[in-house]
Parts: sequence; structure tokens; C-alpha cells
Amino acid sequence: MSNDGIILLVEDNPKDEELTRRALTKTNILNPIVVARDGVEALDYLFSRGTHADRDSEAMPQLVLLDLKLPKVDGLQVLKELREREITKNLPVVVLTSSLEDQDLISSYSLGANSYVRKPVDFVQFVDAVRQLGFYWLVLNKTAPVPGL
Amino acid sequence: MTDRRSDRDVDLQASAKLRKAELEAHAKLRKAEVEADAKVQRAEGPAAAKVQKALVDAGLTLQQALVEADAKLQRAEGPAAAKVQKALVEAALTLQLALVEADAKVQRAEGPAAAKVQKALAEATLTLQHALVDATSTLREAEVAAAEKLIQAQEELAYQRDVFERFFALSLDMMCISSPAGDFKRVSPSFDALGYGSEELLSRPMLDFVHPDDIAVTLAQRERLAAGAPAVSFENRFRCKDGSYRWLSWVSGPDSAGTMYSMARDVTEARRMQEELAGAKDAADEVNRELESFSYSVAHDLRAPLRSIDGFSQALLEDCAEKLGADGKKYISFIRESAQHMAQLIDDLLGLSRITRSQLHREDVDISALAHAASTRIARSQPKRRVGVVIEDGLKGVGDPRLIAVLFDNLFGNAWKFTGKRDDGRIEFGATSEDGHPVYFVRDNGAGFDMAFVEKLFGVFQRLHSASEFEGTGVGLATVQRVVRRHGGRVWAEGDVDHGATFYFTLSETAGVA
Repeated sequence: MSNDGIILLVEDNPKDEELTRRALTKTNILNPIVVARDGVEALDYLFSRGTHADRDSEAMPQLVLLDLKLPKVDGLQVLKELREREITKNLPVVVLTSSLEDQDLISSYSLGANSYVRKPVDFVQFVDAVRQLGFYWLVLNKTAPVPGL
Repeated sequence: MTDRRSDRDVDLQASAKLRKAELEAHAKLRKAEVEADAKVQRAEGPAAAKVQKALVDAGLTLQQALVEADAKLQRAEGPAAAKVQKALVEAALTLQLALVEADAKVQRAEGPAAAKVQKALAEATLTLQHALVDATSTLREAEVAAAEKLIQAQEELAYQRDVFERFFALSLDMMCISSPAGDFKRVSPSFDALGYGSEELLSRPMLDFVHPDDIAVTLAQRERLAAGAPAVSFENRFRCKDGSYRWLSWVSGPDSAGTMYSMARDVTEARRMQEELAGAKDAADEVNRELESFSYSVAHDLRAPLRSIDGFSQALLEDCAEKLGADGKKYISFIRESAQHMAQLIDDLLGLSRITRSQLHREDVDISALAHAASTRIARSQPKRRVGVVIEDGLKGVGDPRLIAVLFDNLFGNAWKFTGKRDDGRIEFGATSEDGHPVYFVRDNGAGFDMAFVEKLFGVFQRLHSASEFEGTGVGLATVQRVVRRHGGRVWAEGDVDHGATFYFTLSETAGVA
């Protein structure tokens, strides 16, 4: 069902990470998953710096699943910095969060999020949500080529 | 013969000429008379000079006529010198006579003219005397009126002074007059409130009483006022007899000599209250910010563990089904139900707090359309149910459409829920009128409630039905009430067990006051 594009999962909670992995597996999304535990790590990975300085800077993930509430640098700030850089400007970013606050929704979209999905408590619903967004962003959607490639 | 005839001819010619000269002299004399007469006629009032001039003119004209007649006689030349001489003498005589007559006529004319002049003079004198008398009388009246006015003005001044003195004595605000140099000249008794007698204040410059930190601004204000700035209120601290300071709000204005007229009001309490209010507002804002961050934490942090509880319970069910057994599976499903219920509670509470936190945007609202939309939403979410819904069209109102939508979601949601055990469920939305203001209602024929517990209906987490009867978190009607209260309206309910319930609400303060 999917190719081998990397999913960058920006998630500080290991249990949520586990549930997300399980939901992805259950819907046959077998793309490699890279986990960033906070905003700084996410940005380091994407911009090939810090602990990810050795990474091939031109190999961009196919999809970023971004939590908003994160240690150090929060999700909205990560999103802002992504959109300011040419190399990550068009990267598909799905905000995956618990928040249903209007302000978070508005900020996410105005900073250039591609989608905003609220994590349901009901795991069955969660799996369904992951299945739909995985199908859309990893299979249906065509990503803009990374500039300079 | 010839000579005689010739003499006779000359004689005749001379006579004719003489006659003609006579006639002309007479005509001229007549004309002069007429003119003199006319001049006398015109000489009205004190016109003696004109009469005199007319007399002189008449004399002059006569003289002229005589000279002309003489000249004509000179021209009448001929051999009959004697006759000519005679004619000349006669003409001179006639002229003399004419002159005398003219003189007499002038004399006669002078008489009536002089009388007229006299009369005119007398009349003028009389008129002048009348005018003088009138003027004198008017002057006297004016003098009397002026004296009366002066007395009135003095009385008015005394009254004004009395009024001023009374107010000066009565005023709760402090009133004072100070010299251009800033010394008190006069102070009202109300300065007693600061602990001073007037002598003490009058003995020292005003600035002696002003808080050291306020002296500069006070002087600056005085300068502004002296320069003609408008007398807006100005505040400074004024030392009381006991050494404490009171905030006074001053309104002052100078006269042209620089004397300052001031009124001061003690605003110490008002300022204290203002500061308290500002402090309270800051505290409230702080609490609001905390509430906001708390809500955010609730949304985020409380849901995460619930997701784990639910998610891993499901994982257990899926991965370890054989080991769990029937009871184990049942318990796991209870865990999941509880987690989901708690998630719902959190969401409902967040919804409630969002209504409190959100800004109210009032606008003209199609209430009926919002009711239709809410009804459609709930019908779509429960496609298996059949409920008869009747919505009165054309109901308008003023309110926040987003909040009213939340209200309808809850009221229609309840109505759907509590008609769930009937096959002929029926929901009605409409409006009645109280004092010209609309009272909206949502009515159902569902489970209803016992009016004995009506007070509990709108409380948070208050439920009149067990969870096994009807599911719910007990937040819905609390949310409805909060929406209505945000609009300044009122909400109330009527119900009967098994005979349905009606929820009434208004969207403004004036409507539906019981």
C-alpha cells in the first residue's frame, strides 16, 4: 500500500508513539518511522544538524506527523521554522494533537499546516483516523519535489 | 412842407421808439416786481436776507431799465431835437415815476415778507422751545430710570454676593481664592475636612501644603492656567493637619489680574477604589490566563493517558484475547468505556469553559435557521431514529450565532435523547412573546422530569436520569445556561415525568423577566 518514504513522527509521549505505530501497522502503512521527541530534535533532523548532522540533508521525509505540545520548542514553532526554509517549505505536515482549541487550529493553518487531526481517545477511531490520513498523504497525495533536487 | 413832413416823421419815429422804450421799461419793472414778490413769497422763516436781496435786485433792474431807456433816447436822433428833448424829458419823468412805483411796490412787498419772516421766526422759536422742553423732560426721565436701574443693580449685586457667600459656606468641595503669587486669599469652611482653620491656611503659601513630589506639576499647572489653558481637572496631594496626604482634584481659573479661583474635591477614596479595581482586573486577567492554560493542559495532558488506557486495552483485547477469558474481555471493555466517558466529560467541560472564555459577538441572527441546522446535525448522527421535528420559521433575534448553535446542539440533543424510548417522538421549536420580547422554547414529548428537581437541572454534572436510562455527562444544560447568561438572558424549564419537557430561553436582559 505504501512506498518507503520516511514518516517523521514528532511525539514526546512514548505511549502515544507506540499507539501511533500500532495504528500505522494495523492499516498496513509500513513506511519507516523516525521519531523526534521534541521540537529541537525535529528541526535538527529536518535541517541535518546537531545529532542529525550526518543525515543526508536532501532526503526529506514523505510526511511529518507533528504534535503541538512538545518539550523545548513547541509544534507551532517547528511548523513556523519549516515553512521559512526553502527545503521544507512544501513538506506535508499533519498536525496530530489532543487539542481542540480554536487558537491551535487557526495558528496551525495560518503557519502552513496541511492538515489538522485530533487524536481520538477511542483507539478504534484513532486507527481509523490514521488509516485515512496515511492513505491520503502517503498514497494519494503527490508531494512537490524538494527544491534544488 | 417837406421839412415839416420830415420833422413830423422824425417826431413820430421818436415817439414810437420812446413808447417802445417805455413799454419795455414797464415790462421789466413788472417783471422785477413779480420776481421780488415771488422772492418775498419764497422767503419763509428767518429769510430777511433774501428779502433784502430781492429789494436790491429790484432796484438794480430799475436802474438798468433806466439806462437802457436813456440809451434808446440817445439813439432816437433826428431834426426835431426839441421834441426829442421833450420826449426824453417825458421818458425820464415816466421812468422816474416807474422807479417810484417800483420802490413803493417793493416797499409794499417788504411788509408781508417781513411779517412772514417774523411769523416763521416766531414759529421756529416756539418749536425750539417745545423741543427744549421735551428734551429736558426726556433727560429727566432717563435720569430717573438710570437711578432705578442703579438701585436694581445694587440689589442684584447684593443678592449675587449673598448667593455666592451661601454656596461658599455650604460647599462640600473646597473653594479658595489665591493671589498670583500663590498665597491663599480666601478659603471655604470645607477646608476643615483637612483639619485646618482658615487662619492657618491664609497665613501660609498654598504650595506649603502640597506634597513635595507634586510641587513641580502643581506649578506647571498654575502656569498653564495663567497662560489661558482650559480649566481641566488636575490632581495633587495636599497635606492634612495630621500630616497625612489627601488626593485633591482641582478645577481652577485665573481672572485677568492673575488671581486664581479654585475648587478642590477630595478624590482619595475614588483613587483608592480605582487602584483596587485595576488590581482586581489584573488579578482577574491573571486568573483568566491561568484558566486558559489550565484548559489547554486539560485538553492535552488529561486526554493523553486516557488514550493510552483505551488504546492498550484495545491492544490487550486484540493480542491476548485467549488469555483474558470472557470476564477479562468484559472488564477490558468497561475500562475502555470509562476512558471514553471521561474523555467525553473533559470535552464537555472544555466546551463549557470555551463558552465562558470566548468573546460574545452579537449580530442579527436567523434563530429558526440555526435551529434547523442543529436539528439536521443531530438527525444525521442518528439516522436510525425517526423523530417528528417542527420548527417555527422566520424567528429572528440578536446574539452570537456560534454560541446559539452550541445551545441548540444541546437542547435538540437532549430532546432526541429523551424521546429515544418512544416511537412517536416529537420535538417542537417556537417562540412566544413576553412584553414584546421573544421567548424561545424547545419542547419534546420524551421522558420529562420531576419538577421537584427543576433547580438541579442546570447544574454542572447534575443528572436527573441514571446512566443506564440515558447516557450523558450532565454538562449539556449547564452549557445551555451559560450561553443564555452570556447573552444576558434567562433560561427555565417545565416538565412532567413521562410527559415531556419544555425549555424556554431569552437572549436579552429585557425579555422574559418573571
